Amino acid sequence: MTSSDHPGALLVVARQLSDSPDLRTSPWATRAIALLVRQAMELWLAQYWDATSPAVASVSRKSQFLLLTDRLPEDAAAFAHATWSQLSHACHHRVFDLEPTIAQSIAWIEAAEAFGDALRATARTDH
Amino acid sequence: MTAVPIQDVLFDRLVAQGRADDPFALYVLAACEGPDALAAFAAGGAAPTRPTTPTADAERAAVPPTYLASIQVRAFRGIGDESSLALAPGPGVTLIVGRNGSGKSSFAEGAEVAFTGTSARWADKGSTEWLKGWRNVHAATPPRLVIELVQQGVGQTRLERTWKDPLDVKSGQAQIIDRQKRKLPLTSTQWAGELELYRPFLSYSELGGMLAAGPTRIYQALLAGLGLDDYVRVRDLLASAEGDQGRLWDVSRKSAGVLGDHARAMAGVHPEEPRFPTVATLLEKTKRDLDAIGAMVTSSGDDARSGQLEALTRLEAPIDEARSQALPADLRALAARQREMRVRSEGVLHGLSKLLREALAVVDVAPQDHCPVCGSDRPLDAAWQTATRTRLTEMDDAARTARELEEQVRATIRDLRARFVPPPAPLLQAAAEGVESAGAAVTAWQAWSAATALTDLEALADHVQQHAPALLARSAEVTIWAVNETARRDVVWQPFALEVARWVSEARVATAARDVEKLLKEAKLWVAATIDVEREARFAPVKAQAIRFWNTIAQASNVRLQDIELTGHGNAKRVSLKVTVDDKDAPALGVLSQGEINAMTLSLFLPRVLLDATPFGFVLVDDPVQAMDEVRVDGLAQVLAEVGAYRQVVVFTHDARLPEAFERLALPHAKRKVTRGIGSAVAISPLIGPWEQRLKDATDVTLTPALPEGIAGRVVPGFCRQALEAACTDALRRHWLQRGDPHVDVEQRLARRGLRELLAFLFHGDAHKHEGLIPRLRKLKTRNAVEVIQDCQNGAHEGFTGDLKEMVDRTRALCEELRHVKPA
Repeated sequence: MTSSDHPGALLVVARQLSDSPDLRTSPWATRAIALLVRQAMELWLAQYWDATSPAVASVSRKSQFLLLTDRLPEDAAAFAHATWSQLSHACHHRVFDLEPTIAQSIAWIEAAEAFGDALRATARTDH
Repeated sequence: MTAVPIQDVLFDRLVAQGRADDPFALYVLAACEGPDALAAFAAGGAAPTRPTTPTADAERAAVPPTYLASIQVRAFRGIGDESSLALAPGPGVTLIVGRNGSGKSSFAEGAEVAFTGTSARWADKGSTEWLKGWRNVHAATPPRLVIELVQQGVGQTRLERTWKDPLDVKSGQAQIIDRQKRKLPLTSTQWAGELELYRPFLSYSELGGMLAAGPTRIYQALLAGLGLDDYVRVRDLLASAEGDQGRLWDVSRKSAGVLGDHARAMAGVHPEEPRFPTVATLLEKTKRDLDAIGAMVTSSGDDARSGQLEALTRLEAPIDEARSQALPADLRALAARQREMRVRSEGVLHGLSKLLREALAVVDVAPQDHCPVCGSDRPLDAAWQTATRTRLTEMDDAARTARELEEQVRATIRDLRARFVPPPAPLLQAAAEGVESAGAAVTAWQAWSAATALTDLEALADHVQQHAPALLARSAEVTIWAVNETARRDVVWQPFALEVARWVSEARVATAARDVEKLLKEAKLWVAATIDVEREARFAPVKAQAIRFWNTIAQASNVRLQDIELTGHGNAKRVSLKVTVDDKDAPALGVLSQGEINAMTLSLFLPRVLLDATPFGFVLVDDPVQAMDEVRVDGLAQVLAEVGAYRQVVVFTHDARLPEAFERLALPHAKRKVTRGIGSAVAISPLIGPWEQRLKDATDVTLTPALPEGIAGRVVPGFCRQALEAACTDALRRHWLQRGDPHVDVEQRLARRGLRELLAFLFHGDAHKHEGLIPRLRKLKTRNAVEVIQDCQNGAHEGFTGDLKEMVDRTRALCEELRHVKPA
């Protein structure tokens, strides 16, 4: 597993993209952030189910997020699901949609970080 | 804006209508020469020069257009460090796309503020937000706007606006810097006025507000730039001159009323002055006889009253003082002499002389020794004869003297009687009018004249002695009265007469002015009618184009624009939009949605951009797409492209539907994208089609050394997948819209589709029919198309560790192929 396989590492890069004066004006920066943040969330999700209920890892990601409502505080689960849905939308070509804004990207990064923290906290409790 | 001087244009029309020799025509021509010439001519001065030869039909000259080469904005609105939007200076459409807040509108507003010093979006609101927010908060440098311009046939020019006080938006100053680096304040150039007439900016807020601002405002905005200013100026001058002349007449008429009232009042106070009521009556007539009124006030004494007074000032009694005093004594002396003579000539009176002459005749025949009459014995001898002859001589003398005296008495009496005349008419009239002294004089006069029957000298002497003093005294009193009265009358009448005399001379000017006023009115109405005709003629192509533009933009709307009518006069001028909904008449504003209102405003105002007379070869349209649905966006793209064939059209939009419509409808255009980073760093990049853009992004990601290892592999597949989705969407949308599917349905079908669904739509006509999709994809010309798709799909979630460049290249080939697939 390289550093790029670690969800936290993906979010660090996402942060760099949103902060760095060189990178943030790249026309692709916010779209790349959306892809990285979504992958980070999905990696965390997979790791969590692998560790806690491996059977769940094979169902659709949407179902995996829905199942989290039993594991995470309700708000956190719903927020994570909503963020992931927004990211999914942003990671596809959408007719007439413009690229996400920097502010939106930063909000996604923060939401993903919170999601990672919540999962880690839950995993510790589960153990 | 006419190339031919206005007097030539109007003279040609006068000639064409056969009215060049009408008296009013000269006023039209004088007005063309300006207010001074018109005023001079109206006052009877020199006639204006008539154009000698009619010119050819007046033609409006096309002005060489000016285009934008770049808009450079620094520290203004959403832009911090200087950012430059380069534009191709010439006709054509450029779309500037950026999301809200990206800074694109800051370019639009920057250009507007550079030219006009303000922004319509904010000006109407008068908001403090604008006063605070016009400067960029992130900028360390003072704000500056620079517009590089290219003027056809002239070359490059630069418009620069800077602010003396970088905190006060109102301290801005704009200057034009030409090729020779000469600097001219913008306000001193022709553009200053033309910016009002041919405003080349249209922002969303203006689009929405223009129709709501009311029909009069639309009228002003629509009609500006049609180049009728010269005509309107001539008409206004004529109207103003007409007013001036009319005022002269009004003032004269009102003054006549005031003078008439004054005269009536004076007549009440001075009933003895008959000229007051006379002149009042003359002044009160509708048609005033200025000659009659003038005669009354300029000659002072030929009226009856003046004649009477003048006669009375010269009144003389029939006898003068000296004579009246001498006469009684003379008469009495005469009477005494008469008496004496009568005694002396008694013989004569009693026939004695005849008897004596006959006695002498008897004695001559035969001497008589005694008296033949009395028989006395005294002989009638020689001594008797001598004595008798002496006596007869004496008697003859006495008789002659007596006759002479009688003659003198008769003459005296005749003379005196001639003085017993009735009182003169002016005196009687004055007495009848109640003049006291005159009454007394008449009584004295009548008493004096009552003696006509008297023949006795003594009685006459008594009469004269008794009545002459009263007659003389009363007559003198009347004379004194008449002199005083004349003086008093002059004091009352003269000031008023002067006033009336002044009025008469003014009224003669006003009467002449009335004729001039009629001609000025005729001239004004003629020019106004000419304006109407000319306006209709010039507005006709604008109208036709506006209707066509609307019907293009509002393709599928049931609202049709049938006609644009210019109605009303003066301040009530309005534009009325004749609109039908499903072929029924309807009020335009009531039936239009916000999107349609924007479309209507664009339809109405874009034709003005195409006017020959505008010096602006460009038009900036900010956010026209808001609230429009897809069909309208297609129509708008067509209209913008049509305008773009003749003008530089720069459209700022946040809505990607507009570039998509241009692309799909194959309308010529250029695109730029505006993105805004932190700290108001605004970047402009070319805007290419969505799939090309994603592949360019993917390549850029692989070429970015700052990214940690493995990161590009997590981003590129996602971008490639988006490119494939965009290519499928392009192909599907073009196909469906071309076969006539409604926009709404098309967008609904494409909403929230993933790659697999789009491919299924493309090849099977059904988003959910995935069966057999892979074999179909294997038939594509692009090598390993299925693997490319799978790598992108999986890599978008899990990353890709293979050759990213190859992935991008294969995806590009696949996109090209998919775009040209004829969908099932």
